[in-house]
Amino acid sequence: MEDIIKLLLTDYTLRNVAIGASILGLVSGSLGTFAFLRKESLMGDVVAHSSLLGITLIFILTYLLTGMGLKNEPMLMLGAVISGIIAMIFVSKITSDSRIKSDSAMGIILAIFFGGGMFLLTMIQQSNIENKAGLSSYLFGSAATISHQNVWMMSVLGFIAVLLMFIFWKEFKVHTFDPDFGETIGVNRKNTNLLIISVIVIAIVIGLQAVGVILMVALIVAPPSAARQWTNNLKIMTIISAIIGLVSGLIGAIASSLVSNLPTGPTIVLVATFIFIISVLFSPKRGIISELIRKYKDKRRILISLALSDMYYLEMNHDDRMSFGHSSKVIDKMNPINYNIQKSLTIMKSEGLVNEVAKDNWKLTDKGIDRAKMIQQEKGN
Amino acid sequence: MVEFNIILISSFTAVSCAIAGVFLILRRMSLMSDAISHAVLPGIIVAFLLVEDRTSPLLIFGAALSGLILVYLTELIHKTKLVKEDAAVGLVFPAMFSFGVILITQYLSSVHFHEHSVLVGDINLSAINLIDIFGFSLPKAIPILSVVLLLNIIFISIFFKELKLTTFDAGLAAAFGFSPVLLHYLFMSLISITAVASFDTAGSILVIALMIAPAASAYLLTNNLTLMFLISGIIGIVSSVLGFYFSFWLNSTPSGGIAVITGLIFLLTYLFSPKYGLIIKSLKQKRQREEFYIKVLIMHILNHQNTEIAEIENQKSGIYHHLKWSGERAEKVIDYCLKNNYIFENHGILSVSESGKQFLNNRD
Repeated sequence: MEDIIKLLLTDYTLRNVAIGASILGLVSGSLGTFAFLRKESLMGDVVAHSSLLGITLIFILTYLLTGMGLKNEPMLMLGAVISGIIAMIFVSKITSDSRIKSDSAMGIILAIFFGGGMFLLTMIQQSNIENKAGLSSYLFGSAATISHQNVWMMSVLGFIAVLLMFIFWKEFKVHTFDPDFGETIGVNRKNTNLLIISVIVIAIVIGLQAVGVILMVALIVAPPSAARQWTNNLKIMTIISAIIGLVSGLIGAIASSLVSNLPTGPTIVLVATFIFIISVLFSPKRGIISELIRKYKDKRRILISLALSDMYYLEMNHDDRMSFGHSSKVIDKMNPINYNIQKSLTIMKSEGLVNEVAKDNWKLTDKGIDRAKMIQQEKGN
Repeated sequence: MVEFNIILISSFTAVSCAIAGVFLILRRMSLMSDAISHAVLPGIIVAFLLVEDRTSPLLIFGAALSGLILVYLTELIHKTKLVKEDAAVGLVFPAMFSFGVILITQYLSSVHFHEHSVLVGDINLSAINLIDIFGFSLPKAIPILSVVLLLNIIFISIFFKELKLTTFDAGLAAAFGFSPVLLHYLFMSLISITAVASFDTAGSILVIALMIAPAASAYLLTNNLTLMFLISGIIGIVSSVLGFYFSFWLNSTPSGGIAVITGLIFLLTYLFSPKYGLIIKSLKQKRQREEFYIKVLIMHILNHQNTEIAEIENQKSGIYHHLKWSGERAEKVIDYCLKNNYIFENHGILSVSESGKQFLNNRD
């Protein structure tokens, strides 16, 4: 651990990687929240795949204009942003103007843009343009290629995206949860939609270099899905999601730089997925384990209250409270509901609610009587 | 000969995918093709690590299993109601794909299993990898692709009624006692098998493109389900042929080229489809708008004709003001109506003719 921190402070590449990955996690985590809540998680998939066309197109265009391959990543990122936004505009146009459903529209646009991108990428790789090697790292991401200039670019873009989210927080929120209401209070549906899509596209593009076009969708989906389990508050959810994104980016990128031959994108994705699984299992309010515990407790409570009420009824209606108890068969016959009477009695005994005065002869303790009275009262209410 | 083989392979792939794609888009699960084509990767790799033979049919089995695991995990996450279905898909397939890529880089970096070829496939390689069948020298992929194609045709024909019913009216299907869940899993297995058989030769992009775009184009052309299969298959083959020559011309990957062509064909149908195309739609809208203007004009004139204010309201030069139209539009509509004798002019005052009244009544 100390070694890693030392490396982080001294190693130039690793520092860039760490900062870059943190920024990408932070931005995609916070903006992914809106994609998640709008049930448009797979939009991330479309945008990320589609950006490949923009990247390769810009590369080829500059080659045609200047005769040189483009090493300038900001331009490539710009290409990615533009083609991502155009792809989404196409999707909504096809969906609104024809009988094609949104899922098919997304699939078609993804196939065309990504297919076109791969087409151009293969063309570039089979040519002899300089600097072409860096392009294929956009497929699966390569943290090692993140330079100082990239980090700077990522910060600027990320800052713009997050700033826009802060400025238009109220609009984003209203539009996400109730666009109809939003329109009545003057939030323009079309413009807000375009704005949200644009900032999400920016968030995706920031991550392309480290995570790659194919897996970037996971960083839009996993952090908010995990964050959603911990809170019902949008603000808190966005913050948690951003932190989860940051942590996954950081851990994944550092791990892949330290372990040889470990691809960055997949590693980051698996870390984020792991955090999601932990959240789903252990979140105190909605988690699967707390749900199981709640169910177990409910079941126990019902088992106790059924037997307790019956025994109480028996004892109240016989003037034998002090003398002897009843057998489990008798208690069982009291109630038409079929339940495991032995189990109930064992649980009640362990909680000190009943006593087994003789073999299979059960009697309520004082504590049991108090509890039974309480249950009766609750029923009365 | 290689050219012919490439076209043959991609056409077989195209038809299988196009057939599988029809119900995929009708069931609104298009993006499952993308998810499955990514998620089959770990299954292929694990199977490959077990048998160390790239051509073993076990690879297809592993892939299909992988596809089913994706469907199962997605349902599992979705069922907890902790996240929505789209997010569940978006969580599972990248994780599975990541796992597959890491397996490749850790155990197979020396073998011919390049990430790049996973995406675009190696159709050129498949085309020169030949086998003798009944005296014909055919690509090795053809027998597998034929089996998959046959499987698709058989599955769709056997379950046509069930698929149709669960697709268009799931409630009724359940009432009749069909199990939508079982059918869903069967159908997803079919998609996985089709995806992986195509995947090996054509890469994952082509799987997505060929499953969705031809079926969606066919959906824009017809309402008849049987016809939709036919059109979808034809578009698949046409895209394969054109796409191959396109990529041959520009010296790039056939898969990318074919994907682009399927997209272009979709664009063409999207614009020019005689039933649902954008152009026919906007023409229709324009006609409706014009008809509406004519009706408004006639009604206005009819309302005021033979009243005291007719001279004010129905004045040819001033009517635009009463209708709150621009002068230009009023002039156009009035000219059109005069020409068609819906209205006539008398000393600058407009009146409706008999045919004008008929126009109003006929086309309500």
